[in-house]
Amino acid sequence: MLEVNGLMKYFGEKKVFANVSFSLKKGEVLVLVGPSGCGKTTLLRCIKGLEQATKGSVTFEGRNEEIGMVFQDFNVWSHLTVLENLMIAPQIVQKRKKMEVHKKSFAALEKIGLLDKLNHYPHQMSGGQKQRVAIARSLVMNPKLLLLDEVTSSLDPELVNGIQDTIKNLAQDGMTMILVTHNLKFAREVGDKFIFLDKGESIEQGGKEIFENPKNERTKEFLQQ
Amino acid sequence: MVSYNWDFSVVWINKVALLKGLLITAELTILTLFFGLILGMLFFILKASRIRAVSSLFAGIIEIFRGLPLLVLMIWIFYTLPSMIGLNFSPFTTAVVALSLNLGAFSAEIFRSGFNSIPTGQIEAAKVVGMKRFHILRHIVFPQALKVIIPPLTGRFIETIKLTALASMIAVNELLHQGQNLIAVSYRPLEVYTVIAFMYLILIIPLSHFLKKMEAHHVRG
Ligand SMILES: Nc1ncnc2c1ncn2[C@@H]1O[C@H](COP(=O)(O)OP(=O)(O)OP(=O)(O)O)[C@@H](O)[C@H]1O
Ligand SMILES: [Mg+2]
Repeated sequence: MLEVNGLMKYFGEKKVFANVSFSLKKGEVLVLVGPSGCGKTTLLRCIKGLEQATKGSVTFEGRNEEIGMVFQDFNVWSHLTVLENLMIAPQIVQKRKKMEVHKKSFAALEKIGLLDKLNHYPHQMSGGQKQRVAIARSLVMNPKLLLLDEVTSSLDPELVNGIQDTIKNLAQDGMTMILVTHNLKFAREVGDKFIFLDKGESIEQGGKEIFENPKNERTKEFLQQ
Repeated sequence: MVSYNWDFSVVWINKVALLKGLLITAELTILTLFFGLILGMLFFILKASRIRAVSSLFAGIIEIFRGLPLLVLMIWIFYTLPSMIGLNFSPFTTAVVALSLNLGAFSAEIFRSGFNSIPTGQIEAAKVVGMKRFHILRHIVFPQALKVIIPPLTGRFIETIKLTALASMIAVNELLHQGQNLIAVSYRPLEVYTVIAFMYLILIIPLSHFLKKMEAHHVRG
């Protein structure tokens, strides 16, 4: 359902990444792994079309708004309550009925354990709570493909498991996802395919076998950390 | 201590003239608010233009009207425009034009800081869920900008009421000028100026409290 071919991105003279190619079938989970600043966020942004790739192509079988995206820094709308954050887009973009969206939003909030916060504004919540709101906000849109950028990086340890379980459940339910994470254990548990990025190159990509038998020296180093 | 014999009867007898002055002050304010905010929006949009020449032109215009003392601008329009381009504005129109240009320039900057205060991530999050430009403006940008814009804008609004008094210098029959006319025939400046000061306060203080309330209601959250 997603085909990325020879993708390359420069910011002016500065290369972010080059030669990224992969394809993703429905229900697959791709994990992007790599050190900070290697271009993971930029790659997600290019796939979503928020950033124009310098070269290469992204082909998605569906409309762009069917790609959900959760930002590394959440970007929960600051003037809206939690419930309003969830309900606004399904109603005005997808023209869904208020009652149905309301029901779905409640279910999503219950799942992420924020039902008691539904009338709170973002400034009244912790980073981890906002992160979960951002996830729920993209889920109520019923995305076909979900891009998750380090969704557990700013969470308390005790919340990480909850979010990771949510993501695992999504994967089991057949959600197609691309996720960025620094947590190799979690990556291995949830991912079907992996791309290791370093210094703007895809240094190794493939299935779970990479974890047992990495071919690239830098991947080896990375896995040993 | 000099004892002065206060006598407000002259004010009472001429209350209609003063109230008429107050009415004209209110008219000046309302018209200025109307045209000034439209100009402010226009200035703001044109200054944000992608066309370099347009954006620099309006950046310059905004600086000029913010930098010029309003009184100088008003008198300049009053005396030079008629001889320069043969346009003959009435004093009242001149005052509205000058006040509106002033408010326009100030509010353009207020609008700019309001819209610039919105983090790009807020807008990107809206693009991600497929909102179109209009919806992003209406549901995300506008409500957030408004919270930043309203407090300084209400301040400017009160300021505008005070600035209308300058129109007395070009003989607009607003409150201050009506008072001065009255002083010229009654020789009672102390009483007249005292009453006028009170009349301005009666107009401004309740209004500013009301606006503060509205603001608190709107800016919360
Ligand atoms: N808009 C931009 N203009 C110029 N350079 C940018 C821009 N956005 C990102 N970069 C640069 O591109 C590189 C990759 O950034 P990116 O955010 O994609 O990295 P990342 O892998 O997500 O890092 P992290 O793990 O810290 O989130 C960085 O060197 C960054 O400075
Ligand atoms: Mg990143």
